[in-house]
Amino acid sequence: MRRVFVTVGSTQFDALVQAVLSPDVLHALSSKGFTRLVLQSGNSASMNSEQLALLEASYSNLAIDVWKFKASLEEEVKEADLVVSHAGSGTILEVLRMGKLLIVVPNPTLLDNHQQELADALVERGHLRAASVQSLASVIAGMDASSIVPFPEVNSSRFRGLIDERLGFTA
Amino acid sequence: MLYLGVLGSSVALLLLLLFRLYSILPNPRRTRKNASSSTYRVMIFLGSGGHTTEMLSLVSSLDFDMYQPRSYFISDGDTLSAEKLRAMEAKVAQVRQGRKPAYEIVFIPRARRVLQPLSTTPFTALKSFLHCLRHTFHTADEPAFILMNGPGTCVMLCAAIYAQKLVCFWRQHTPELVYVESFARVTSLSLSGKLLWPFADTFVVQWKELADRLERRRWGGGVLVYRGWLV
Repeated sequence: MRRVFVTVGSTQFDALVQAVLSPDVLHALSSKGFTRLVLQSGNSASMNSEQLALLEASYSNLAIDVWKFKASLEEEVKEADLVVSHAGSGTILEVLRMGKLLIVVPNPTLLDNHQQELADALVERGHLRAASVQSLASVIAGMDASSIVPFPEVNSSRFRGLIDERLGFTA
Repeated sequence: MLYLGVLGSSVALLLLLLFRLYSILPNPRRTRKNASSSTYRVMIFLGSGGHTTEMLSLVSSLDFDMYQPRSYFISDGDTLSAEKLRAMEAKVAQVRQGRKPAYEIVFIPRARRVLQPLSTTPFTALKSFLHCLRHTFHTADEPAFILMNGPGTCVMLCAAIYAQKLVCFWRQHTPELVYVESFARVTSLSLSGKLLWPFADTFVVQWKELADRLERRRWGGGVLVYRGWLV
């Protein structure tokens, strides 16, 4: 079973939720071999259960699961093969640290452009892909795990060395 | 005559304070507390959310035998940070075969709550400052360093440390102020980074782009450190 986990965190990102539940994206997911879509919609407007049931019925090989919040998203990320996320820096770091494939969709209505900066810098280094609400389906279709540069493990000796050195504990 | 005397001594006091401020501002050449004891008290600010996650990741890499006791400062009501912290300390203690972790948690009032009007901010900021002052004042066991990475309330903590530096001129050692800018800041500083830039003895950034930009803008101050990603 291949799982995709979509998360908007604590934000409201109606356009992303809408895009993910659109025929284009669902089709792209299903033709990439995904069999389960888990969507954490946060404060975004989503579909009601009847609409969802109707949608699910039209995609026989893709189970769709939508909910608003959970105490920890760690389990969901762990089980996912692909994560699609708003460009929140905490989520980016968490997902990359777990070695998961990540597509970020920056929210154009937020004026917090340093999140965009982080996403751009990491795309440039090949650690993740970025998409817009409009291009999400094609980015999913073109997602190739072998082209992603693995995110380096955290090097804990760096900070430890830095502190020891600054306090004069090392030669 | 009395008037002149008051004026004269006020000017003298002001000059003295200014000189004192100048002498306590970050200076890379100043000698540091050296390895004269085996353990060092440290203070760590946990700023909630992503700040806490990054900070705990940094702290967990330190030598807990050497850097203890650890005082963690958490904003009032931020129970999530306290939970994450306890989990981290317990995990490290487990790795170190159950040696008792030596730490305390200090809750401090927020300098400004989300959506709080600006007009009442000076009062809440003062309350926060006084609280920080009370809990950072150590007459005997002076902390070796204080670690922070934003946001807001950590500025009060910095102010409390500086107030003590300003007044307590007889102290031989004052804590090294270490500020670590977030992994999320690629080319520009956060607001707390901007505010603490002149005051931090060690200012750490995690992106080369940002380090280069700051290097071009510096005017003395503390030591700018770039060692790549730390979290």
